Amino acid sequence: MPKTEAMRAFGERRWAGVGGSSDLDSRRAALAAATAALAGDDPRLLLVFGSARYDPEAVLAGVGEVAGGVPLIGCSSTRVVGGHDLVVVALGGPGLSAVTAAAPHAAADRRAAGSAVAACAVDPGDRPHHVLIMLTDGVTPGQEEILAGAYAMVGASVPMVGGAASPDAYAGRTFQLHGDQVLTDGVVGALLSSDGPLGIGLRHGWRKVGEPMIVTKSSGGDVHTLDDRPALTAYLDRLGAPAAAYEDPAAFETFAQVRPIGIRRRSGEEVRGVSSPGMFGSGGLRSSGEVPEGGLVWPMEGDERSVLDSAADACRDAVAALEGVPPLALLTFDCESRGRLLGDEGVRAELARMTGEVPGVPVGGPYTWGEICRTRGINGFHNQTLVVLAVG
Amino acid sequence: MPTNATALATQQLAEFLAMLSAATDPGAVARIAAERAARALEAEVAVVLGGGPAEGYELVSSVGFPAGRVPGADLTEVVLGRRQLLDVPGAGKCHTAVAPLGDPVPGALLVARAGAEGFTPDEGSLLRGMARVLELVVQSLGRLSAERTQAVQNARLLASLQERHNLLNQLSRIQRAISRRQPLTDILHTITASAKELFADDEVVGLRLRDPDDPAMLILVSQRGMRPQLAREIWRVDVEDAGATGQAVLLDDLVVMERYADAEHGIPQLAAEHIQAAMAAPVHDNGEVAGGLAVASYRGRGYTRRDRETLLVFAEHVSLALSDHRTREKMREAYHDALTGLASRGLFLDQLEQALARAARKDAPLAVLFVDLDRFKIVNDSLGHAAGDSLLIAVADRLRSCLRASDVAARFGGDEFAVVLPDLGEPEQAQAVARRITEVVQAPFVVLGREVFIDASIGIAYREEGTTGEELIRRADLAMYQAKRNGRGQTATFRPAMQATLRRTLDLEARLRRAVEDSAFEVHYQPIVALADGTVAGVEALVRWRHPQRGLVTPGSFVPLAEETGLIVPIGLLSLREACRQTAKWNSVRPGRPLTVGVNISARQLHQPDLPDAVARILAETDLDPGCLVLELAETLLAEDPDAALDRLCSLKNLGVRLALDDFGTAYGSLAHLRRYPVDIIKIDPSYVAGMGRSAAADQAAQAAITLGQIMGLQTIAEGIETAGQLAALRGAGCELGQGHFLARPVAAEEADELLRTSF
Repeated sequence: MPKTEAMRAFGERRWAGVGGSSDLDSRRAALAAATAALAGDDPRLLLVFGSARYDPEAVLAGVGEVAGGVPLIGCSSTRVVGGHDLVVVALGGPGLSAVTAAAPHAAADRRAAGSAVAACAVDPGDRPHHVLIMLTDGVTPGQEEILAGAYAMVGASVPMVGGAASPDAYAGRTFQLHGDQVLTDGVVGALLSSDGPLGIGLRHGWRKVGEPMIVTKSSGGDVHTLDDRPALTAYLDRLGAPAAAYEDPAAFETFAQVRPIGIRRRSGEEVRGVSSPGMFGSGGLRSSGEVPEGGLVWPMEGDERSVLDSAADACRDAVAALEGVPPLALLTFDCESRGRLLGDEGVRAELARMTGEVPGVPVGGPYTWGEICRTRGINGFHNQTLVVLAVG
Repeated sequence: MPTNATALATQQLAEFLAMLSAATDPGAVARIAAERAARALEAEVAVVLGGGPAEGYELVSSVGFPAGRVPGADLTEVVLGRRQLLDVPGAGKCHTAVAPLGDPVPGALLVARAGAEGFTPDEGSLLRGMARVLELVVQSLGRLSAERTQAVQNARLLASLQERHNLLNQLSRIQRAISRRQPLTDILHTITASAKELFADDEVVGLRLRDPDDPAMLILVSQRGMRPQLAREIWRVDVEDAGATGQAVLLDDLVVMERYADAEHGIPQLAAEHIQAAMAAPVHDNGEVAGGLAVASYRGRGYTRRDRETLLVFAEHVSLALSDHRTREKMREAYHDALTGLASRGLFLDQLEQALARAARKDAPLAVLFVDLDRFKIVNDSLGHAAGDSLLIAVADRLRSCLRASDVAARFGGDEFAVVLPDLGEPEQAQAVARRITEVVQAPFVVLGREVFIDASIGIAYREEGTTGEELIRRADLAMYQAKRNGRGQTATFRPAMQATLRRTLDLEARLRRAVEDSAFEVHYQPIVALADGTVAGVEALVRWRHPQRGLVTPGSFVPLAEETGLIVPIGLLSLREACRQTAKWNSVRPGRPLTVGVNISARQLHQPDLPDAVARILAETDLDPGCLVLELAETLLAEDPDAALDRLCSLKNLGVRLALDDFGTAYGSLAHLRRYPVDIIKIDPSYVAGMGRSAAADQAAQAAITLGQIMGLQTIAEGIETAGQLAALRGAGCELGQGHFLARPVAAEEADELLRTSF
């Protein structure tokens, strides 16, 4: 694979480009990716996703060399869609516009942070199509509260997509980018407004295993018992886990990373990852999102095929929502656990499935620790899911 | 499993309750209520409004509108019922649902959702439930805050806290019962028990539901605190006479009777019991009034607003449980076999796929058994469908008794069952389970007071790398097919070679079907000779298949398959008609004694209830004297269902036809058959004839059979006479008639013409 790669597409008064780089030097990688992504004049929004091994300040400096002053948001990502280490998605042309916002210290008041960022979308202007892209810090607990804060601010007036920054195992940190700012524990967002349509697809690719279980005791995301049995054992038994997963937190984590639970909702199941061994000692499961007591859940599992199929399906759904307008780019927010299940080869296959749906159209985005997609109703936080935004 | 809307509603009410209970001030309660209502109903908008129609409504909390753009006037219009749709920025025109709020927060809880469909009655019920919970929580918070201003150790504060705690506990208990999908009666008892605990001042709690057979009557389905005798007396009453509950049903509203003795609609028996006060709330099933929940006290008491609201909350829970039960029943119908309660094919396949995925992960053996009942059809045809159904239910019960909790059994329809055995320690365990199933099915069943014996043929297929559920079922089915071919009550394990055999068989079956359509059968005739004088006394009709490639095919090559597929019935009728027609033709020109014609009847034919009618019709059509027709029955086929066989044989005898027992001496209990069935002729099996003239023992056996026939006044026909020695021995033994190659081979009708012309 070449070190730098570029894909570009042009529409009526709008263009999009995706540039990827695996250069080891932060500044050089960012410069190369941004240069490749800048398909035309008048860039309106840059989205930057890269491994947390990169120095975020140097990344911003690299991008700034070719696109200084262009509204920018971004975040760290364990890997990026397509197998590069850093990707820049650029959207531009007079048919598009963007307003960005950021809020630091989200953990202190998650609702307020969500509201503050969403405030940029309260008055979206005259263009017919809008979407609020939000990037949070996956390490910050209570992601749903951030979204609740955002929804309280904008309500149903604008759809939301996005994801939570994922850390790098080696560097052990996350970051979010906003203009020339680097944040951790922050929330950044951009209201993208366009003359062309914007389509959203959401798929997870997991399948339910067996009959549902009742959450007989939980608080927030901590599930203590399922069907009145310790949640950990009930979950592992249902999935036929190997002995080590019952005894060793690390083995459990590896096993559970690709086996989320689905909470029954009116429109289907909402997926929640439970691989954190935070409750392992007390026999419980810890989810990154709320698991309501009294609710019904299913352990879920998947395989490479189902995950790849869902990638193609999500892209197809997003493009279908453009109602015939050809897509300029697909911006993806793909769960990190899906990437882990796929492995390096699989990740390339996933990109091939995505681009197979939209030949010649640039595709890029992060692998996240929680995905955001709100198009209907109030619920918008997802786990172990793929969200695709098609820019038409 | 499809989304079960009402169970979901229960779950969401549980969540709602838990979230609201955690809030500490009314402002937060209203915000959480709005957010949670929107979440539960997947609505874009939820609003808590205060006030009323007189003083106007004001916004307390809302979610779903951009900040500062809440359309207050539109919301009021919706609450007042003047409009149904609400414009929501970003979501377009949304359907709305409203639940009124009473004290201490008079107003309304409103939700709005995008999409073509409005809210369902279930969702309306959920929203009302949420409104009730909101009132209760705000009320108890208000009391708490008032009482907190007093001494911290104030006993009333503790009591109030305890009361709130109790209410939440009782509601959680009910919601859990519904979520756990306990039987409806258990849930209803849980509700009345919870109400009894909560309404400590009321000694009696009763829940009445409409009688499904007569909706004008109410049945007491659950009660607490009533004398058993009294409960029996007023178990079923007219809705008009059902006291507070009846009024609640008729008015679809809460009804309070604080002076029961003077109440216009009180139940006299309760008044006589000195009930002083009662209160009832209607319960709904999918939006319709379905009954009422009542509390009553032996002491004089008044009901506060809080008491009334609490009863309404309980009644909402009954409504949820009822709707959930109905939905669950529908779901169960969709996923389970209605007759046996076993899984349906769809559910089975789903569970099989999951088990396969688990087995693949652990590299563990997994087997699918395909179970087909032998002789079920005979029971069903002879004893009727009700008997067949009872038998299937009993078989399903026995099947379950052979399985572990983790095994899944399904009925695929008819008399076919399938079982998946996951988590096998050793593959051989599947054989053991199959053996057990065969044994339990072999044990006699008592159906409609009669003992019935059946068998099970079982095919086993094991998981292999990459086999899908469908494929595994197909393989087990194939193995079962092989097991059936091996005889009744057999078990066979799938081998790839079976596929080739099946292909050949399927091919043969297709050709045979075509042959039936084309009437590609010929009847040949083998003369039956009077041994004393060598004259032809009759013929046996033998069917041949005119195969396009193989020429004339003898019965041995196709009759077993024809039996199996049921094609033997049309083939049998074809040959019977032809044989009768031909014999009548011969007899019309034949001087002297007319020829008889023997026609074989198969087990399938014998078990056709309309066989006597068909025979009568053919005799009439062909104009053959019934006395000339001999129906030949194999001894073994009488053993299948002796009673039904006897009935049918008697009907045939009444037509005037004669009956011959074929292959006499080969079945256990030959003598018993002779005594039991109205047989006229015995045909001595060729195996007896074969040894004659060569061994004394064979001579004696044949002699015994002939003598038996003579003693019982039956004609005897020796079959398979191949040699002059056998002929002489039989003649010497006094055997009346005989047939065999030594005398004459079976020939086509034209050749038989010639033979018959020269033989008499």
